Amino acid sequence: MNERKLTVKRIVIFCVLSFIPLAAMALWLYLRYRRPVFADGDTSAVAYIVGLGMMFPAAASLITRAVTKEGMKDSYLWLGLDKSPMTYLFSVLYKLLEAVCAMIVLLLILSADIPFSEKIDLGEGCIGIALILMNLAASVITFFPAFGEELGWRGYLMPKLLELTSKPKAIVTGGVIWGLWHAPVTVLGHNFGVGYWGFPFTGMLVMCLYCTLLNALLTYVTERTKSVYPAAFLHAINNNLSAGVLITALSSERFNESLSAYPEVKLRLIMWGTVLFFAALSGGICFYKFVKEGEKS
Amino acid sequence: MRGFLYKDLLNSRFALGSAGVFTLIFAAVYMAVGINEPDPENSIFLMAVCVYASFYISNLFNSELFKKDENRCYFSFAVSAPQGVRGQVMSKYVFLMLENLAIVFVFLMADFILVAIKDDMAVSGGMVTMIIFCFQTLMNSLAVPFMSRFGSDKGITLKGGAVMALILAAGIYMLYGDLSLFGDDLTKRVMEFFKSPAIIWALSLFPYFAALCYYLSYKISLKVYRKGIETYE
Repeated sequence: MNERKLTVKRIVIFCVLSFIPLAAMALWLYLRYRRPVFADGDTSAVAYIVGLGMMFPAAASLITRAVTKEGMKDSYLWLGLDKSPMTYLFSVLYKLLEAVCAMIVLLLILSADIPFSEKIDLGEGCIGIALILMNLAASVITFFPAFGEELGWRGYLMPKLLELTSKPKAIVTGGVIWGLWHAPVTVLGHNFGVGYWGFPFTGMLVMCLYCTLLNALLTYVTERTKSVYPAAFLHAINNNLSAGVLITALSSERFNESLSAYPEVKLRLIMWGTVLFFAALSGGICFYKFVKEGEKS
Repeated sequence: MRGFLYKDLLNSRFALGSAGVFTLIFAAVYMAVGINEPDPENSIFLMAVCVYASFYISNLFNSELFKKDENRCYFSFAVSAPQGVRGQVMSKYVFLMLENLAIVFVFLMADFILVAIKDDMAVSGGMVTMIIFCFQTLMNSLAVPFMSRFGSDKGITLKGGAVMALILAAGIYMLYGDLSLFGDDLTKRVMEFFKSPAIIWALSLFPYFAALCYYLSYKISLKVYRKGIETYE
């Protein structure tokens, strides 16, 4: 079998092994609750369980390596500190900065009738900031699920796609595959709820777009360090300290009450619009760099 | 450093195996406590004990990690390697961190199963695991410079002494101290104490403090390692 066919075979095996367990998990959750579990109520426990699903791509990559006798060559498991140590710092700081910017934009857009200063309430003894710091430290825990995804998508799928095609094409293909992988949980209402137009396909489409944009940034940091850890840190903070989390920790009661007046779909649209805008900013820059790199080579 | 890490892994394989068995046992107990205790506020203490016991026992085996390197012959080899003393010391810190992260991973898996069974986020011991992980990181940052300078036996004695002193102080306070502060319902009062703003601030800064100490500890170990090795026969 020639190299190209072998690479395609490996991608197919990896995708099957990544997609099936998450779909099975989503089916189990549906059968257990008999409804899209993320649609309403307290979803924290279910969201936590879904964190286990984030580790499936890592398992899939390891199994694919074993089945196709590939070994652990180019596993991206080394730290890569000698290549670009600052990328680690960048990964953490960039996502934090992005979340803060997104939070400020959301605070400006939402409930415009309330003065900005009255929208923020740090709580007794600035407890809101303490909670954010604790959440950031909890990235030690959320790092594992994020690492699970990164080892699979950036540590295995992307290098394989890059063997087959140019970087820009690989970014788009990888992003779409990654976005589609989320489809079973999108059907359960994860991230977007259930009451929107074109449910669940619109949600899947937005997820594919978001994953493509994020894929550009994550592939960029992975390629710079030849390691999946910076991408895993970035991914963990992206999931753990989003603009929504920051708003929950720092906003005033008056602002929170005003949010309940918004229709859920409109609120999610504004939130996701802002998130996509910032993802497009970073993803776009990385994508542009990849295109320029391709032109040079 | 890869070579040093690989060597440490080979040298400590039996210790790691034993620590792994203990960790799995404690993780099973952790789940059993979480499943069987109806009030999550009561179970969290026992779960914390399980997590700490895993870290403590795993770190007891770590003397092997240092002991096997404590001879002049090995030192000559280590300093002649491309990364020299720096690689040798850094590999110890990376190894200990990876070992502790592996324990966190096992308890995270146990936590996933626990939350899935109980269908309640209140039973999760994720935060407790993180705080204990940071505490263990702090303990390691105290112990490793001593081990590097005075050898593994003295280092472990000092670390054990520090932990024993803490336990003793807590024990003496429980026996003779003013317990009226906690009221009748000790568990509930302690939980309230942990929810006060000052403690939340202390707990949120603690991981960063532990990380800073670990880094400073590495820098100190780097300085004292060469002196320490000169005392070996």
